[in-house]
Amino acid sequence: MIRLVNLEKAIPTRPSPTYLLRRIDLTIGAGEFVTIMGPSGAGKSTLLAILGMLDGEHTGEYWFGDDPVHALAPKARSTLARSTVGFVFQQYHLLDELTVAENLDMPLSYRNIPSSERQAIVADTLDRFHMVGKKDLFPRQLSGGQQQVVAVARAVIAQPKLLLADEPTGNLHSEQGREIMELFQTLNRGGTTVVQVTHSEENARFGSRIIRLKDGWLVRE
Amino acid sequence: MRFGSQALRRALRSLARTPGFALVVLATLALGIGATTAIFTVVRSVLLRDLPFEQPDQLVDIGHLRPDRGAVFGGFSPQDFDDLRAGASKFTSVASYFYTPGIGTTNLTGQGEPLSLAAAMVDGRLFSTLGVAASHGRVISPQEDAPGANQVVVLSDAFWRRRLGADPAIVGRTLQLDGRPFQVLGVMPPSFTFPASEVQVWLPISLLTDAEVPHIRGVRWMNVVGRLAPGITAAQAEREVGDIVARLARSYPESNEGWNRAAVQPIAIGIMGDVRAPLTALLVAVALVLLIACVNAAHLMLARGLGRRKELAIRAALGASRSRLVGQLLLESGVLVAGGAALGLFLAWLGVPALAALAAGVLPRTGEIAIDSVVVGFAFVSGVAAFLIVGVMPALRSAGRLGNRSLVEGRGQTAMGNRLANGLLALETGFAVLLLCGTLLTLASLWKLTHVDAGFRAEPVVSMRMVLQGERWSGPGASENFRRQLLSRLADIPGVVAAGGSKRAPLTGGGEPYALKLTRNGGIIDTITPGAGVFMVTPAYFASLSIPLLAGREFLPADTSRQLLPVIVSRALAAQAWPGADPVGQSFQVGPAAATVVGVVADVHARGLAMPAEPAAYVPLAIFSRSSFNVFVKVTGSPLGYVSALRAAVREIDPDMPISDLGPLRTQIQATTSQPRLFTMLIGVFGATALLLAVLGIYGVVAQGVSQRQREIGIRMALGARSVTVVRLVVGAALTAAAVGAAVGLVVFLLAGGVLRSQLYQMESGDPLLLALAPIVLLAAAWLAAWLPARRAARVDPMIVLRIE
Repeated sequence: MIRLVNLEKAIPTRPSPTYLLRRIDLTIGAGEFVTIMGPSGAGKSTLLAILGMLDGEHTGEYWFGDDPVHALAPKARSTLARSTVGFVFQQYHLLDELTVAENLDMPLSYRNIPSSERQAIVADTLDRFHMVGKKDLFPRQLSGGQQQVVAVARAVIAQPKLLLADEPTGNLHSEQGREIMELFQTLNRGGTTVVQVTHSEENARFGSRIIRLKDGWLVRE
Repeated sequence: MRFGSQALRRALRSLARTPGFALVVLATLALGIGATTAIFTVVRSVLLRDLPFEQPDQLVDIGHLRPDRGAVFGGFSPQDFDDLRAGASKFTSVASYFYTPGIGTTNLTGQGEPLSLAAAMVDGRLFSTLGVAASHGRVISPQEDAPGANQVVVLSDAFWRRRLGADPAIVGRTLQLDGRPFQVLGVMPPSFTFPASEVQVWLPISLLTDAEVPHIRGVRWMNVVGRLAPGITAAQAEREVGDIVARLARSYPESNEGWNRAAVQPIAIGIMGDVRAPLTALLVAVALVLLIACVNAAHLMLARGLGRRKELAIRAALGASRSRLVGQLLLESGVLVAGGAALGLFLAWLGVPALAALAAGVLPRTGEIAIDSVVVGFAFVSGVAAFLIVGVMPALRSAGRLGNRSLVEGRGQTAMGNRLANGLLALETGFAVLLLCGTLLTLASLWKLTHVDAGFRAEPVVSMRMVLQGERWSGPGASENFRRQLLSRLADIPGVVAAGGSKRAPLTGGGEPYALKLTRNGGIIDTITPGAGVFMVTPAYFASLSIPLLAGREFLPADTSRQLLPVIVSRALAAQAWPGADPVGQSFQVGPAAATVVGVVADVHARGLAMPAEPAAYVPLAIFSRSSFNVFVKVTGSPLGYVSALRAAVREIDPDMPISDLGPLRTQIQATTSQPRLFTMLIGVFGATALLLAVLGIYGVVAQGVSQRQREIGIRMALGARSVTVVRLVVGAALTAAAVGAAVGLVVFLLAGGVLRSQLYQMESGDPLLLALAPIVLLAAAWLAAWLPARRAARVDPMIVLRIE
């Protein structure tokens, strides 16, 4: 599903560029649950941003299925991302002034789905994630765990092929973290490819494969 | 005290850390307060300050109430005035004067270039009735207002200073006026400009003999002012004057029919004329500019305050009470507002003389326009009002609900800040739409007014004015000889197409109010007083002004016989007097003279562009000789190229003849619309300023919103929002707020815009096309102002959400 070939990411600095990722060769198959680990500054989030097609400023090749992401124009790249990728963030990044239902609706609204259809999908997702009773609450009225559940639901509501999660349990206590990881596992078993960045060995064990980065290099799997 | 100075120092230090912000707020407030204070200075000086007379509330103008023309002031004949003075008991004194702008002049010679001075003819009781004294010397006494003793003159302060170099020994000296020596009695104070600001000298009214104006009961030319007796109201006085003029109308029906009702009004109304409504509208307009400036400054303060939430939260965590924090923020805004008010007052002080110069000749009492303690108080009150808007609300909002979230991330304020900012945006859009509606209406009105077909062509015409008065011109045929000689010389100048003249220039007022008695078979069948009056003109007058001759002929040099007076009538008069018949050859009487219509010309706007073209009659100036002589020379090419040739032609005949207003007629015509031009220019400046401030405000609100919403926009983009979606989101929110404000502004204008009605020419204050244009212009500007920062929003890197982790 994903193939990175000799991928490098650098930022221009003086006297020489600073490399964030070096010669990454990586293949992720459809239906995998991959964990990216490594110390701070290793390049985990950078790799995640490239995988999520938020960042196209790199060298090397990035193939998503048969699509050469590295060769796509920014507009085409974001169109592809919109139809294939979902994101879960450490800080949840729910919009404070939108209700739970409105937060879930937001990604759908960017995909030109008719309003009636969107309402049905949101209702179905609320039900699936056991949040029907909370649909009219605002994020600040939810616990951290509940907010992350909404964030996960929002990430998968448009049925992405690839779910990317950046430290999804970083702000949660262990019990809440475990629940989120089980949710990822369930989604993975349903066919969604999951790539998560985490520092937690315990969370990594929920996945099927661990990739380790250090100073931008892929050191081992 | 020490705490206060420390707090002030801290506030100044805090503002110095953001000098750009402080300067923008300071400049915005200074602009708003300065403009408002300057206009208020004009309003106070012209409308609100007491007139420079003793107990001015006792002074009234006395006139007639006519069923066809309403209140008429200046309609007393000398005989009627004498009867009024003899019979009036409700007044401690009454006095008469005569002054018509452009007509009431006297020629000054022996003081360099001959000069035509604006002269008011006043009776010996006028100054004592008004309760004014000279600043140097004394005023005209009743004894000096009598034949044989009346070669005396009182000077205006402005004339004394500008023309006579403020000569301290002027009193007692002699000036040559109309070729005769006049002793200078005194100089009036600068504030005394009665009855008009352009008056340069006051002369005894007894100088006006029958040669200048007939002293018969039917010829009405005197203005009358009176001082009410203590305890008497204007209404009581009006009843008494009404009884007197009614009695005169019964006693002298031949001359006084229809002049049987009185009109008595406070003198202030006459002096201020019709400037109250435009000045009030200007004050409202400039107040709106100030409000927009305050809203802009309030938003800047709010944005700054919300940006300091973390700092305030830290202060709160360290023990600062909310009132202390609010106090600190209020002190900072107070410093800015006080600075803005002081700077605004300084700007007003700089601008008021320029404004007064601009308004000279357009507004009354411009010599009195000056900043005084009341104006300073007004600036202070404006500052306090600005402080309430700029300081209080942003301080309360910024220091409200400071919790841990503010301490850690400063979040949670975005939505509240946006709501408030959008509210401010709607508010200033509403104010701007209000002002823009007024601006567009007055602009359209002025355009219509200046594009009225006046009935004549002022281009390419050179004009000049002379006054043939004094002993030299009093001999039989002297004036006519001069006019003929001059017009003949002018016609010979290469490039001149036609040279004509008249007593009065078009658009500057009506003709003389002669009654035309229509006759048939020797009997009078009807009497018509042409609405525009009777005008005295020379041959080639109509050709020089390109007034179309519709039938018959123009006047000829041979038209000099009173026995069969040739008259040319306007189309409207022809239709009124002889409907359906050929007017040429029709007979009637003007006074005792038998007259015949020899021609018909197109209608002309005599009293001004805004006034309708009324019926008019024209008689030869050679027969109805008058001292005032306006010359119109139609030329080929630029009128300016003929100015020196015209001056030379006059000098060849009479080197001492003062020439006034020599130049393109177009310039004179423009002067007749100087008041609406000034009003429109000022409203236009305020409208443009409002639009600019609103656009800057909207830009600021949206730019601030974009910078505060970077996280939200990043999330949206990370979740799939396209650039265009983000732009639409940002611009849409701003436009929605602007549209709400515009709609409210429009509704308010529809409800209150009637205040402008009196300033509009052939326009309704609810003109749908222009009222639709105002919000469209504003929303287009709002779109642009929002689109620029929205583009920046669309460039937010969605990776920002990962970097926040």
